[in-house]
Amino acid sequence: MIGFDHVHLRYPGPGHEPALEDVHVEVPTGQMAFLLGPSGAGKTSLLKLVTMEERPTQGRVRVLEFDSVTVRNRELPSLRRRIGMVYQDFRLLRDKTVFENIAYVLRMTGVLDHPTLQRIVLRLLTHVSLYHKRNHFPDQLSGGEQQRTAIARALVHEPRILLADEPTGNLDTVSALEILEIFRRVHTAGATVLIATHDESLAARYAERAIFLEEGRVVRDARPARGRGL
Amino acid sequence: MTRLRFFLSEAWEMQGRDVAGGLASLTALTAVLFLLAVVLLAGHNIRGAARALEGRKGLEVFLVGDLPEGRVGEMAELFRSFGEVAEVRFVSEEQELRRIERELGGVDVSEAMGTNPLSPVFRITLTPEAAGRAGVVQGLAEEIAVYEGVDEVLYGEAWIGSLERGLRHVYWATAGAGILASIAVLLVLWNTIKLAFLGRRETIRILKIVGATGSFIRMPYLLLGAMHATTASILALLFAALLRWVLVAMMPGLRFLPLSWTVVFLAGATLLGILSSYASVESPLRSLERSHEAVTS
Ligand SMILES: Nc1ncnc2c1ncn2[C@@H]1O[C@H](COP(=O)(O)OP(=O)(O)O)[C@@H](O)[C@H]1O
Ligand SMILES: [Mg+2]
Repeated sequence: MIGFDHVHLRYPGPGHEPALEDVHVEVPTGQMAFLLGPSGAGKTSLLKLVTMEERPTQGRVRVLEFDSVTVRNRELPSLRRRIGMVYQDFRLLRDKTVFENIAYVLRMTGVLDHPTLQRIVLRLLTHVSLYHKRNHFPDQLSGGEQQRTAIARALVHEPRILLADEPTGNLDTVSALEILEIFRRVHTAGATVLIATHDESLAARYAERAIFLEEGRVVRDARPARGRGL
Repeated sequence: MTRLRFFLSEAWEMQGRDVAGGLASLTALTAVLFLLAVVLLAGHNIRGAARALEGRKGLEVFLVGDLPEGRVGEMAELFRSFGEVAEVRFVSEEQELRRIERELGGVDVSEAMGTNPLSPVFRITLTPEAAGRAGVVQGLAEEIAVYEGVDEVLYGEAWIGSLERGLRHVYWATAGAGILASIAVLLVLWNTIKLAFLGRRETIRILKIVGATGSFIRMPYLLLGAMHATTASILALLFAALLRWVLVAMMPGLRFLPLSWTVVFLAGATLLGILSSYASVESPLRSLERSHEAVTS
């Protein structure tokens, strides 16, 4: 569950318009929701509130059992291990192979014995159809493959929430559809999925819910029947 | 243990990314610590020499002539009973004369002078603890001077005072060198570790987003700092040992630092390395927490 209670966000510094104004929405557990709107509408800012990289200047954000008002900095790692995050620019470790990119996140949480690492990572790589590229470096992969690596990494802790910020922004249509199919499988397995994109045609195909942002405000909140358009 | 190995390999990998920078840092640290080791070595040997002198710290109690045998024995016993006194040796005027004649190379002084001009004397040595304390010799001399049969009490007040002053200077010089070296080590490592951190800023941003804790991110840097400081202090001690080995031909008796000092030297440098690395990564790490804040460099 992700809840925004009358959230305002204003970045520090003079002359900034508020990035978000009075956002009041709730994404229930297990929903596959899209966040739509033109560039600068506040989609990325909203996702940063979910990972608590930013805190609201007013209002509160509730994510799982965490609350932006009361959360302590030292609780953030455990929050983020329960949220998978996927970006437009993939954000892979360039000097590590596909396998190592994912294994690294596991090592971080103390999973250090090789058989366990192998088992978890290879299963994930099979899940995103990258088993055969496990020893490649990010620069040796196509955009779609890099994004699938990033998704495998995001899924490593079996997160309850998967967030994606313009995940198909750098991809061709076929790769984009592959990515969305993976998201749908994750959603079917029970996770809450929240995808920010300016591509309404993708949302039309997959969304259970479409939240439209403009200039920091929610302007429309639609629950389209699948495949019927927004 | 496997966790430590993981962090060590991370630190080592980080070092591999900037070999030239690592060597520059290591050279600077080794130079600074070597200079400190040389100052310590000098200080140690000066103190050793001073100790040897202090061991000779004592009093010469000259007696009036013609004291009865029993009186001399009584006095010796009395002086021996003082807590500060380690040894009391009686030297009669004849023994004293013979000693001087020996030192002069067999000249017959008594024949030349007709009579023995010397007085019998007690040579008193102090216990090491008493010798180390300032003012003890003088106090004891004043106490002994009033006894019946004592003619004069002599002690090397001039050189004792200057020895104590000199040792204080040596002490302060060593402490000053230690502080300066610590500051230099701190600054060099602060800079090295900060550069290593900033060079990996993007990676660290990614680690934060996948839920890395502060201590997970920090640990390889602390180990890197410790590795630099430990290596540099080992090299510095080796060079100092080499220097002593070269100099001992000219200055026999030149001693190397005692084991306890080298242990403190190594442990202190390592601890300082960890502390400066910690200080170095703390502020950029914190500013990464808020994504809209620029990383301070
Ligand atoms: N770090 C930042 N500092 C200041 N202003 C920012 C920052 N990030 C985003 N903004 C501003 O907040 C608004 C919303 O941005 P963003 O959330 O990135 O929108 P979107 O993802 O929909 O394109 C924009 O006006 C943008 O300029
Ligand atoms: Mg954006």
